[in-house]
Amino acid sequence: MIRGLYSAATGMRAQELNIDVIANNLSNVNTVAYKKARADFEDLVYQYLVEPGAPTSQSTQSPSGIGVGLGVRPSTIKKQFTQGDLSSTGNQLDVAVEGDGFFEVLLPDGLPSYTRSGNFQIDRDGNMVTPNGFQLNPAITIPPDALNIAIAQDGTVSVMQPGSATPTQVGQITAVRFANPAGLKAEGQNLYSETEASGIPTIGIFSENGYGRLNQGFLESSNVSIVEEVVNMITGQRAYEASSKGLQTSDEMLSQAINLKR
Amino acid sequence: MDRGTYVAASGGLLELRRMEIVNNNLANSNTPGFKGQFLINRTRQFEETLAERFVEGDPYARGDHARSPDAISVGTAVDFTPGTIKGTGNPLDVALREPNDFFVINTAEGVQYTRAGNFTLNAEGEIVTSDGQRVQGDGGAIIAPEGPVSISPNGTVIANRIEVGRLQVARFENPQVLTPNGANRFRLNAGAGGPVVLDDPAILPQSLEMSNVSAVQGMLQLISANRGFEMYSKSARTIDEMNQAAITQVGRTR
Repeated sequence: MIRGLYSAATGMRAQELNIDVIANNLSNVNTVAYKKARADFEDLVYQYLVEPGAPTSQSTQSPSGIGVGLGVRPSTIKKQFTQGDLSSTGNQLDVAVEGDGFFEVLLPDGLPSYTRSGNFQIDRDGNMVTPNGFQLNPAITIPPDALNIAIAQDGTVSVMQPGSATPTQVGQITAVRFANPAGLKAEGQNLYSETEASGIPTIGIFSENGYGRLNQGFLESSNVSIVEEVVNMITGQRAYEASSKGLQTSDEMLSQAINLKR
Repeated sequence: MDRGTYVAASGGLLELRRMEIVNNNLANSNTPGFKGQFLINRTRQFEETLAERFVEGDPYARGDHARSPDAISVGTAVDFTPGTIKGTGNPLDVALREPNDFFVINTAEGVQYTRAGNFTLNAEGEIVTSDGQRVQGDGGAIIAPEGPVSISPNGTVIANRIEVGRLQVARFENPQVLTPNGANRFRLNAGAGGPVVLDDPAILPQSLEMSNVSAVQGMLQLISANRGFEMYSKSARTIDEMNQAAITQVGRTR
């Protein structure tokens, strides 16, 4: 009895978490380069009241035993690094990565962090920074008299300056890649940090060997699909409801058992 | 004590067991690769034991506790019918086309089998399950050192346009030799024959097989367990009332 109650409760808890993840995806449907997350579940251990193959008489064995499952638990909440759509903004400081690469930025405490979000701006010292003011690493400084900024597919940043007919190169945005981007830790503010599971960052050049290429004047949209999330929300809600019915029925049976004694 | 009480109690215990199994199925109605369980032999066993008693024609054996249908002696079996396939667009999600095929997973407790193809990469770029166990390829673990990774319909893993290995798929003649182990995996029963490794498996890339639990069936089983339990508890109560009548009324002089 108690087993049935608890396995129904684990089902409700799991679906609650599922809805949490879906709600966060939906609220980030318009966040630049947001990567959707998905909660995956796995069944809990089985309690074998009779082991499969246990003797049932001198010459026969139980073909499958009695294994009562104890419910469900979340196994992972995994970010899915599929490519988001590129949307044209016309802004010369917007860059979208088409491929697997990340930008590396420096946090105020000097630690590196990684982002796919290429909506850069210029701070008062001319550095290219994220909307939160974190500098690209290595830093790229745009001269104050720059008329026009060009970011090539390989990350080379060049500017046109008055009195010069040829562009001047002011730096290069480096690309970073991970063996397992799904293992990165999402830090909020569109930033990710390296973990044991992501593997160490490999630094390279955009448009080379799987790093992806840069597209100036574009932003990578969120890869959340509203239809998919809503469908998942419906199945999640129904699964929650089904488990709650299981819990309710367990309770009714328990109450009947108790009321046997008058 | 009247023996009928024990028969009713044993029937009640059976319904409780059913309830536990249905609750576990419902809790896993959104778990990838999950296969629902059901109770087996229950009605047949109950009727058989009753019939045996009638055949033997021993009226005193009726309701005998030692020979009453024993709820604990039924078994559980796994329903291996395929679950619904959901397209996810995730390159590391794979589903199996054929119902008796399984992915082979190398765990610390030995080789296990799964229908849940929600794989991921680890820090070394190896293909692993969502709890980090290595997925068996044709020559050991499959390492996809640099992306983008894709899996083709015959299980070949391609990383950065280079073939890096192939997912091993095992087919069981009779999947009932598998026992649920938790974590979406099954283990082979001791002494059971092993599977055949397929040369040309049929895989659906970027898809995931979801749970095969049907909510409708689950609800019906819940109702049946609930009412069955109610019926057995009514029987127990009726027997109790009869006993009470026997104690308080029979032998009363006035």
